[in-house]
Amino acid sequence: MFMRSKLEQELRQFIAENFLVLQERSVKNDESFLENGILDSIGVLELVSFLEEKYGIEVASGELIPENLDSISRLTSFLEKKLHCVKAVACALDEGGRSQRRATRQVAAPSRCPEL
Amino acid sequence: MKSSSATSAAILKIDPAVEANRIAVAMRRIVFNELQRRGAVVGVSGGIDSAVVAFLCARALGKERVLLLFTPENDSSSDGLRLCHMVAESLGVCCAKEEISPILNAMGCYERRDEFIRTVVTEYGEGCKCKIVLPGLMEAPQYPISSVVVQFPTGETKTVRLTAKAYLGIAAATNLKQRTRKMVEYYYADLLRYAVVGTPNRLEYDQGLFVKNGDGAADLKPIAHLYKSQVSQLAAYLGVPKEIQRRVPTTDAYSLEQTQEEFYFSLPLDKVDLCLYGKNEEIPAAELAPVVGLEEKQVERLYNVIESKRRATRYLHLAPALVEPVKEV
Repeated sequence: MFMRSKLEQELRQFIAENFLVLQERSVKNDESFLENGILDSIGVLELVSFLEEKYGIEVASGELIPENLDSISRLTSFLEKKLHCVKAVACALDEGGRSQRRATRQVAAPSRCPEL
Repeated sequence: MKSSSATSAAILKIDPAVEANRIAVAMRRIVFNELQRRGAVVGVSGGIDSAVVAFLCARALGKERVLLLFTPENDSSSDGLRLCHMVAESLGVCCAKEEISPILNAMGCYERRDEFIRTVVTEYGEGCKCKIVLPGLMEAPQYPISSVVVQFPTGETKTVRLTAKAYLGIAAATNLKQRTRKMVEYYYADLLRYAVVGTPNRLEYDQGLFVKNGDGAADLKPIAHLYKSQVSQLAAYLGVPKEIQRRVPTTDAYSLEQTQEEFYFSLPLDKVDLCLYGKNEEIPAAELAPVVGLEEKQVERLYNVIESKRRATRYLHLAPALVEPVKEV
């Protein structure tokens, strides 16, 4: 929950600083960016670049849909899912690395490989 | 909302003789009386819009008062010059050619553009060609995010989605072309005391397919109220060479041939034409859909896209803002 509200805050700040400059309002969680004229197509491009650079994720072409990107709520959910995937992959890779090392040990041990 | 019971492609049908005369009367009044100019400079590309404007200028102002200007650069299509000569010869008007590549080179147009392309396609270099494309509007319901298509000297192509930085950088560098063209047009306009006549049709004008202070700048835009298919009707009536009438509209800005459909509209222009008309006339999407050959939801989506393009490009239409009006001028 803490993570979600932190993401929401960061995304809201990015939107406010880049697309609502000097406007005395903040974007609501479920407010559509496109319907309310907050983002145009170049704005979407900037948003995607921001997500990829700041959070180290890769947004696939098929993911460039309003269901993922068109409000703070949708963006946050999408980002949580992506970050979860990134974390899961990192864990899997890490786990894979450990398993491989264990397997190597098991296989290599009889040969008394000194570096193990 | 209007009923569209009579809606069909025929709705965009005009009486070209009446329309050509109406435009000619307006052009004479605007150029000679309001602008106090002696003739017209028209930047021609070999496309149908600029050809129609050239024909209209000759008809309205007299062929001796028209200068056609062709401004090729490194990335211009090879048949552009031939088609421009074809227009000039058909009309018997003066035609000048100004190669703008040296100016663009001096401004670093190509270098700057290539550097931004290399941020997403690192191997882009000598001998490569490029263009910018959007996904088709009727494909998956994704946002219209531009990609760069690179063709390597081997003929192999690569398509990569652009980052915001790359897109803005490529667009900013490429826009130097349209602004340079306009600068040269105004050189001749100043020299001859002529007006610069712009060539946008209604789709381009309404949807913001122009560069501010580039091809968007002009003293007069005589076909900006006409839908693309109406421009075609005028072209046929005025006797624009068939080869030009049949030519696919391009942006004339990238080294790989780039249609307006793939760069901006994401849909065949005849469909955009009808949907823009439907939107303007408040025809319900359900009624327009069978006429355009699309589904109701697709027309609704296109209506939204039209509105969002208007919002996004509103700034292009605005004159310089003043803190307070200067009433004396």
